Amino acid sequence: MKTKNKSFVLKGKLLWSLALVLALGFNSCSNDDDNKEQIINEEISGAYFLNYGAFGHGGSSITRYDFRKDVNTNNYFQAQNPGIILNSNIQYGATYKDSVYLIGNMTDELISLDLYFRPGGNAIREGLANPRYFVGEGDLLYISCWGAKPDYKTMPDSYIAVYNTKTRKVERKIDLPGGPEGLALANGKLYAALNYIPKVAVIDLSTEAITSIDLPAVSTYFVSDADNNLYLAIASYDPGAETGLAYINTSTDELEHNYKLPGVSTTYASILAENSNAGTLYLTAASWVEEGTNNWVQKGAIWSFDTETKEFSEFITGLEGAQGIVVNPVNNDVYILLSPSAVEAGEVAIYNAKGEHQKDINVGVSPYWALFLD
Amino acid sequence: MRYLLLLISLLASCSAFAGNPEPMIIDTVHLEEVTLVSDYRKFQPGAKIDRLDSQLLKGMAEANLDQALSRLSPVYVKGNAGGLSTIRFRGTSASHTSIRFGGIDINSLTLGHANASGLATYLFDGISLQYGGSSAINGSGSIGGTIYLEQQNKWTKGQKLNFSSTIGSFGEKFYGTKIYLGKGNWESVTKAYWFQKENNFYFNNPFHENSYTNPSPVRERQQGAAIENKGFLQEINYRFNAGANIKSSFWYEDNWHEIQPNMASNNKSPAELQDNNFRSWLEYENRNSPFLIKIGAGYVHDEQLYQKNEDQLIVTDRLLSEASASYKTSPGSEIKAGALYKYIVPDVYSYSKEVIDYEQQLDLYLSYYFEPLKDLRATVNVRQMLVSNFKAPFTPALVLEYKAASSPKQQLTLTGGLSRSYRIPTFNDRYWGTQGNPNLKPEAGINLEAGLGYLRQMQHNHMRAKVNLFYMDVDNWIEWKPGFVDWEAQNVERVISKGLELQLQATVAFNKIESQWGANYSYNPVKEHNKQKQLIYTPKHSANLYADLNWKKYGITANGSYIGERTQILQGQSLPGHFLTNLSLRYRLNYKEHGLQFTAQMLNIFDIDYQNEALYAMPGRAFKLNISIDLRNEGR
Repeated sequence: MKTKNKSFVLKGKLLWSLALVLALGFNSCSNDDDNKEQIINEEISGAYFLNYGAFGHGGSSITRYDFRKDVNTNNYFQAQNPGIILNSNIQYGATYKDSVYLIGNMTDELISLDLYFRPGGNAIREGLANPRYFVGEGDLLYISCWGAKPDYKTMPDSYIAVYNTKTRKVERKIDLPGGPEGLALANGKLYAALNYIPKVAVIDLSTEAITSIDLPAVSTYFVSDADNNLYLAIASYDPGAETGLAYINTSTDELEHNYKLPGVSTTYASILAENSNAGTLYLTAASWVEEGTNNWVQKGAIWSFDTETKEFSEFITGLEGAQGIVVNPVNNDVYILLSPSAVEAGEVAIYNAKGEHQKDINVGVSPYWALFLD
Repeated sequence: MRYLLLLISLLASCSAFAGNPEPMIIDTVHLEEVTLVSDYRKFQPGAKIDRLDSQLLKGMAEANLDQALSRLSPVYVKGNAGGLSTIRFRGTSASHTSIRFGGIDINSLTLGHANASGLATYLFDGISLQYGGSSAINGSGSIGGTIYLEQQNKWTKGQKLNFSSTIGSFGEKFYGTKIYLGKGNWESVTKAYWFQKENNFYFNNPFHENSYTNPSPVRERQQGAAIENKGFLQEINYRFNAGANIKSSFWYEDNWHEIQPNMASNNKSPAELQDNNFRSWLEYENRNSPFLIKIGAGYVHDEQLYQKNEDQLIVTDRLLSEASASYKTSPGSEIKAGALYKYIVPDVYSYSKEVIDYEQQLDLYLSYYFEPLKDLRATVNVRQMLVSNFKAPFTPALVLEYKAASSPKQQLTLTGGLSRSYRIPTFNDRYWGTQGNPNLKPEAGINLEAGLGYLRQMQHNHMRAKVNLFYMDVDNWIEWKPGFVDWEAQNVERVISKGLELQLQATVAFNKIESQWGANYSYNPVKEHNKQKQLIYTPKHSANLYADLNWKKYGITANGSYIGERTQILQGQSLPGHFLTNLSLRYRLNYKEHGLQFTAQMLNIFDIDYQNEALYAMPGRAFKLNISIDLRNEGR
């Protein structure tokens, strides 16, 4: 039996948790990446793929991939918790402090787990209506929610739920129309990508006053750069929308640039990721191109974006069902999350940073996100 | 000849849903004219077509099509507890079942299927099921099977009235009326109903709020699954003479339901869906000349509103016209040619007007019925659909029926068929936002079928057995799945569905008890080409059985249906098989030509926990009481 290494984690308690791609939301964790003295906890070390399942029909699961030992374990949650099933479709998940938090749809809930993926109690449903994403600061999680009966035009009833991790309750709601999706924290402010109106909401967390930044189209998820400024995926179902990557200066709260890229994925998955030094971003995008008369060809897949040169280049093309990308913060390998359908087992294709294929692993149905523990 | 007539009478009177009731004989004996759909039988001898028992349907007047099929046929109905359900023949998908009303396929042009929970059986005089592809007759979409919602012209003389009312468990209420007025050369048939159900049944919920610390199921009440459907159907028919008439049907549906939350989200306030449909069909028929000429026209308006949000209204309008002529070239042969034209205007918030403003479809078809040998009936049907900006395949079909042996006491029939079928992609598949796929091809199927039927006559009793073997190969199966990065419609699969269907049916009279017995069994492996796993939501095994006994004014019907295990997600999860048992008792009181019938039903009498769609609770034991009054004042 393996011995549990209790000296794991960062700053005293030694949890060095690098929550997936978008874990930039957790700036408190991501800045300290000196892992030379880190002792690996072999019992939890690995990439954890959050498999969404089939909407409203269950099938959600967790796949653990111990990339150091090259060992893959599907249905990890069930293995850790015999007799217990994931009730909901896991919309998003990340680590915060000593816990893993999963956001579920159908049913709407927040599941808190320890680092071994064992429930820390019942899921929280009260106050969470169509939860989407979260970020954490102090004892609080800020959870974007679309409201109980979403109006998919402008989302007038959407809000941010403020959840207290100590009391395990949603303390209050901050009304935020527009369908907040991805969130990010910077300079004492909460940034919310609005998925139904072309704006980013900026909430001053000390006063909860809300301002906004205009965008060329609706948006989904953030990553931050070394200066704590934000890149944001502009993705829209509107075929005429100008999609790409927005760059927001969090000091001035202005849209400084919009790096255009047609056909950015509208999937609610990890479509935007960054490598460990935030020098390279990865974005999923594809679009229909007419080659010859009435011969439409779909182009693209995974693009990389150099934050120095500010240029996109094709990273991987020709993959079908690329729902998301995550980057292993330990070795900068790029994991592409693939789904053949809503009911079939998914796959993760692993490439190194040069774009060379390393291997494929089988995961659960519809892998949308991943998080890394070490 | 006398024995043959007796046999024919018995065949006609047997109302077993299960067997193919020898359609030509039925038509002959009942002198009932199945309007608007009669040709589908004539030009498909040997096709497997079953008719639901009209007497049993009458005893469950409140039943929508999904419930009727679940209880009276072996066809798999996937759905929740009454809000939304779809019909899947022989392992195919929802959009592979055509539902025909007159010259109209009522499937949604945006979704590709109709909600069987919103189709009240009360409005129809008969419901027939055709198994297997019949695109050459019915056009796009008839790949897995076809349902015919039939209207019968009785050319009423005088007045007839039916009133039916049902109350049942879980807040179910049904009121319906049918009014027939006529003078023999004209008739007006008015049918209307109102159905409401709170649907607040109890179920065992393993996905409850505390399941992460206590995984045992808890008893919960279903929330947010209410239904309210209203429908009105008006027919006005006029007969110029014995060979010429004009018939019309105007059908309006106003259906509302809450979208049933799954078991895990039972506490959530549900969304709601409103459907309004207007379907009309007008047909002129003239058989006074050597030609049988039919000219029809129709208009269909389909509208769906989600959450009362007018910004997300989904509307399609259709204008249809059809003309056909058939000619008997000899006593044993007939040829028919026709054309069906559709002008369709979609108004869907997510479609770009620059891409789709309207669509025109023209179907040209030709059918030839002949008897090449003694006791061999054959039909060749061909169809070519032309669609603006799209290419549909040429669709031929050959169906055969051979009476291998026949005597007054028994009959052996061999049937066979080989046909192509197809489905052009729905509007959503082609035009939905950025995800519609302009490169889609039509689904194309090949359907091969063989059957053996045996009929045995024993005095006043008879027994029928039938075996059907089928093989269906559907290429370019359309599925919504992740594309390069986003979900989109794709031609992704080639699906092979094959199987064996058994039917047994008997009519037995002893003392003063008349009884009918029957059973169906279907074995249906359905797989993607070169894959081993059964396709999702396709039961490999399904069966049903029934018994119906009548003694004087009393009647009792018991039926049971088995749906085998269904794969739900191709990673191991599946829904277990279930067997449901229903019981119905009735008492009929006749006074002169009037009738009063009381029916009591107990459904799912063993209170079985089951699901037809993963994670959606279904009701346990339920009770219903129905009263039906028939008043007649018909001229002689």
